[in-house]
Amino acid sequence: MEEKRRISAPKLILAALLFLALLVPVSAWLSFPWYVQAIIDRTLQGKPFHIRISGVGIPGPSGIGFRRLDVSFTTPADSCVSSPTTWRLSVSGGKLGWCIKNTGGKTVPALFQADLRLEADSLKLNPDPAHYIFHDSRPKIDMKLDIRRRNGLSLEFLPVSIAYAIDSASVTREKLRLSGISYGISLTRSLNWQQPPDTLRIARLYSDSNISPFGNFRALFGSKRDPLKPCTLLLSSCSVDIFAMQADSDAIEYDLKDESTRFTLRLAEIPLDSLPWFHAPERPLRATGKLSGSIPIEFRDSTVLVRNAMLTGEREARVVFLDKRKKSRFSIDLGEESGSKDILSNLNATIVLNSRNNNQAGIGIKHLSTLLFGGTLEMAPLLFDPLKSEYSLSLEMKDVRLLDRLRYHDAPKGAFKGAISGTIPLTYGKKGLVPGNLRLSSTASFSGIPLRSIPGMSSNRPKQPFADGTISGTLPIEYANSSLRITNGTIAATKGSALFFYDKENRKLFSVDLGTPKSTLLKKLNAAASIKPPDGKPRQFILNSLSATALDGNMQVSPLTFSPADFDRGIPFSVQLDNVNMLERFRLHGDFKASLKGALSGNLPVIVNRKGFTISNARLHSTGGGTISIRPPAPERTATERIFGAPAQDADFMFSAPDIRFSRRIDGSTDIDFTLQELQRKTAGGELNLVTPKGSLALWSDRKQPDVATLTNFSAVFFDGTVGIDRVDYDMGKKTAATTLKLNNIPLQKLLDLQGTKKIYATGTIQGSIPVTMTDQYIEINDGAMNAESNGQIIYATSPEERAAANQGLRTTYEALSNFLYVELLSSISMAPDGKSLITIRLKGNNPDFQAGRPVELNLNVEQNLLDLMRSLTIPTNVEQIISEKALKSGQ
Amino acid sequence: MIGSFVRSAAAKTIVLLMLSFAVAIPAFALDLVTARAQGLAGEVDNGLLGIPPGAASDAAGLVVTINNQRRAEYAKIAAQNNLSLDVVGTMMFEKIYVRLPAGTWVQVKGQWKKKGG
Repeated sequence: MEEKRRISAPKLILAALLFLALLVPVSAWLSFPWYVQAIIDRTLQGKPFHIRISGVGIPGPSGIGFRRLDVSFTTPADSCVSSPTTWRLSVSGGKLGWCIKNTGGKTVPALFQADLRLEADSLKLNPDPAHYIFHDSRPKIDMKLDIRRRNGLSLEFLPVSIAYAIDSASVTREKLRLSGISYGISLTRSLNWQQPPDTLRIARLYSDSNISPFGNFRALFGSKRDPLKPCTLLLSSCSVDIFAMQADSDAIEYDLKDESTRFTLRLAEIPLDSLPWFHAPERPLRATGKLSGSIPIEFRDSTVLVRNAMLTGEREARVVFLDKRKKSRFSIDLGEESGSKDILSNLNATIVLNSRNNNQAGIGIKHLSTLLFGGTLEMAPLLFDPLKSEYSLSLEMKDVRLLDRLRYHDAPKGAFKGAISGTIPLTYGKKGLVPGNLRLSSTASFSGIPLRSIPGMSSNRPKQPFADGTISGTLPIEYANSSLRITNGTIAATKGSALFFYDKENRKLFSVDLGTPKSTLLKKLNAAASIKPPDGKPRQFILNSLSATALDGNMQVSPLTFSPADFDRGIPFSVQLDNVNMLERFRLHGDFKASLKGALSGNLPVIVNRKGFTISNARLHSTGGGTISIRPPAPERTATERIFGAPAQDADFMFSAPDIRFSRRIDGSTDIDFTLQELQRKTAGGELNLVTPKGSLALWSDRKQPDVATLTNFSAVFFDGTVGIDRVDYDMGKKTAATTLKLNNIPLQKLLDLQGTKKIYATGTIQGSIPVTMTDQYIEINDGAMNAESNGQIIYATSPEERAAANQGLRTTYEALSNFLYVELLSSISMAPDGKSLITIRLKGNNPDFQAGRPVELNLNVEQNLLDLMRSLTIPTNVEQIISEKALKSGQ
Repeated sequence: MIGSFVRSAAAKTIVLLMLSFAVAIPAFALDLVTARAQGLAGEVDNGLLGIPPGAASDAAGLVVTINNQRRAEYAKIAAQNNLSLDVVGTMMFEKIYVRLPAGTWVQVKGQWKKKGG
C-alpha cells in the first residue's frame, strides 16, 4: 500500500505537469484573440505597416475568423510619385484559412508550405492623397508561404505568391464610380513580384449615381515598365464603349509623374446595325453601313480635353425610319453620298472630372463644340441638380444641314434640303433623356415627294392610286414653345400630278390635275400648330391657322383640335376657298372629256372621325364653266356613212357659273343642290339650251340601290319658258329612269322652230306634261300633253302655187290657217324608243279672212320619226363639218 | 341678183299693204295713229307693234289685232318670195319708220326710244 502511495505522488506530479503542459497551449489557444494584436504589434514594430485587428475568433485547425482588419502602410515618394502614399486597407467579416503541408525532410531548409486564403465580406482600399475607394464585396485572396526554421525554434515566413482575382469590384471617387471591375492580380517571388499583364475590365462608369455613356473598358496592363519610361504606366490593347460604339487604342501611356496622358481613341468600322438603338423591335429605326472616327484625348489635372475629334460615315451608311408596315419610309444618309462623309468633325470638348462645384456633373462637360452635318453644334456647360439627380444641358445648333441627308424611300426618291438652327435643352435623369423647350427653325425644301405617300393620299390598291406625281416646295418652319409655325411656304406639284377618282368597276372616272406649270399648287402657305399640354396627357394637336394662296386663289382652313378622343367624337373644321383655279384642272376619263375654266370659291364644313367624314351644307360656286363631252367608242366610218348614217352618240354638255351646296353623311350619301347659269346639251341631233337650271341631286342615299341618283325639284328656263321635273330616279347602272317633264310658258313659235319649218308662225305659249321613260339611252314618251296657255295666232304661210297645187280639202286648211286665231290648242304626243311619234293637235278658233270669220275646228295628226327629223335637220351642218375636216386632213 | 329681185317684189307688195292697213282699221275706237301719237303703242324693228315701257295697256287689244293682221300679211309676202317672216317684218319696219312722226316710240335692237325730229 505504502509502495503504492510512493509511486502515486510522482505520478500525480507528472500528471499535474502534463496537465499544465496541456493547459498552457490550450489556454494560449483559447486566449489567442486577446493577445493576437499584441503579437502583431510586436512583430511589426519598426516596420512601415500598421495592422489593427478586432473581433478575432478562436483559431480553428484550418482557419480563423475576424470582424475587422485594418492595415495601413505607406509607400515612399520616388522619382515618379512626388509624395508618399498612405494606403488604408480594411477588411471586414474576414476569414483566414490555411493549409500547412510539410514539404521537406530534415535535410531541406523549408519545413512547411502554407496555403493561406483570405475571404471576407468586404475589402476596401483607400489611398491618400488619391482619395478613391476601391471596394470588393467578396474578395478572395490566396497566398502561399514557405515557413522555414531559423536559429532553433524561430521561424521565417517567406511569401511565395499572392493571387487576388478581382471580380465585380468598384472604385468610387466622389461623384464618379467605376463598377464591375475585374482584374487578376498574380504576384510571385519567382517573377520578382512583378504583376504580369492581365486584362483590366471595367463594366460601367457612373456619374452622380447615373449611368454614363462610357463602359466596357478593357486594357491589358501589368506592372512591368519600360526602362526608358520608368514613370509611365502602359495600358495596351485598350477599348471602351462610347454610346455603345466600341472605340479602341493600341496603347495608353499614363505618366505617373505628371498624372497625365494623351492618346487617340479609334472608332473603326462600327457596323451601325450593331448599335442597340437599331435593334429594338418596337422602334421604327434600322441602320446599315459603318461608322468610323477618331477621338484625340488629353488628360491632366482631372480635366479631359478632346481635340479635333471626328466621326464619319462610310458609303451606304444610313439610318432608316420604318413605317407601320416595317417598310422603309425615310432615311438619313450618313455617308459620302450627300457630299461629305463627315457627320461630326472638329469636335472639341473640355470635360472636368469630379468638379468641386456641386452644380457640376461628375463628368462635367464645360464646353463642347463641333461641326455637325456642315453646321455647328455647341453645348453650354452640363449642369447637375443634386436634389433631382438630373443633368441639364443645352445644345445650340446653327445651320446643321441634316435635311440634306434626309431621303424619301419611294420611287422616285424624294430629296430634302435645309439647315436647322436652334436650341435644344435636354435633361437626363431617371426618366431618361427628356427634351425641354425646343426652339428650332429651318427653311426646309423638298422635291420628288410622291403625293401618294402623304397621309390620306395613299390607296390600298396599287393599280388604282388615289394620287400620282410628286411635290416639291419650301417650308420655312419655326418650332418653339410646343408650337410649330410655317411662314410663307410654297408647295408645287410636278407635271402629271393628279388625284384620281374611280367608278365601282375601278375605272378612272375623273381626276384633278395638280401639276400644270401655269400656277403653283400652294403659295404663301402660313400655318400655326401646337401640341398641348406639352408634357401632359391626353395630348391635343391644335391647328391654330392654315392659309395659302392655292392655284392663284386663296384657301383657308379653320382652327381645329385633334386628339384620339376628339377623333372618336369627330373633329369639325372648314375649308374656305376663294377664287381657286380648280376647274381647268378637272379631267374626265373613259368616254368623257372635260374642258373647263374658272375659279372656285366656297366653304366646306367638314367633320372627320374614325369612321370617315361628313360635310354639312358646303357651298362651292364658280363664275367659270366649260364643256363636258361624252364620246362613246364608235367604229371608224366613211365620210358617206358619217353624213347619211345614224349620228354618233357624242354629246357635249356646256355649263357656266355652277353654284352647288352639298352635304355628305358618314354613310356616303350625298345631297347636292345645284344652280347653273346655263346648261347646253349639244349632240349631232341638235342643241338643247337650259337657262339657270337648278335642282337637288341625292347620291348613294339608298344603300340597297347605290346606283340610283335622285333628282328632285329640277327646273330650268327653256325657250323663255320653264321646264321642270318634280322627281326622277336615274339608275346609273341600268341607265333607266321614268319621270314627267313639266313645261310652262313655252313660246309655241320656239317649238315650231324646232321642226325646222319656215312656213308656220305662231304666237302664244304652251304648258305641257310629258311622261318620259328612259331605258339604256332610249327615250319613250307615253301620252304627253301640251296645251296652249291662252289664245293666240297660227299662220301657215303658203304660196299661191302651193295652194293651187293642193287638193280642195288641203286648200281649205291652208286658207283657214293663213291667219288662224285660236282660242284652244290641245295636243298630245307619244314617241316610241325608235323615234316613231304621233302628235295629235286640236285647234279651235277662226280666221277673220276665211268664210267671214266663222268658228273653225281643226284636227291634225302628224306621224313622223322625231329622231330622224332631228337628224335630217342637222345634216347640212354635219356636211359642212365633215367637208371642212376632210379639207384639213388633205391639206396636212 | 335674186336677192335684190325678191326684195324689190316684196317692197312693192309692202306699199300696197300699207294702203290696205289705212283702209282696214277705222273700226277701232282707238286708232293706230292716235295710239302711237299718245305713246300707247310703238313700232318694233321686226315690223310689229309693241307697248312702250310705262305705257297704259289701253292699246293692248289694238296692238294684238294689228299684229295678227300684219303677221298674216307678212307671212303671205314671205311665202310668195320664199323669205322668212322676220325678214319681211324688218323690211316693213324700214318703210314704216320713215313715215312715223317725230316723237313716236320705236324699239330698235331691243331698246325703246322716241323717234327724233
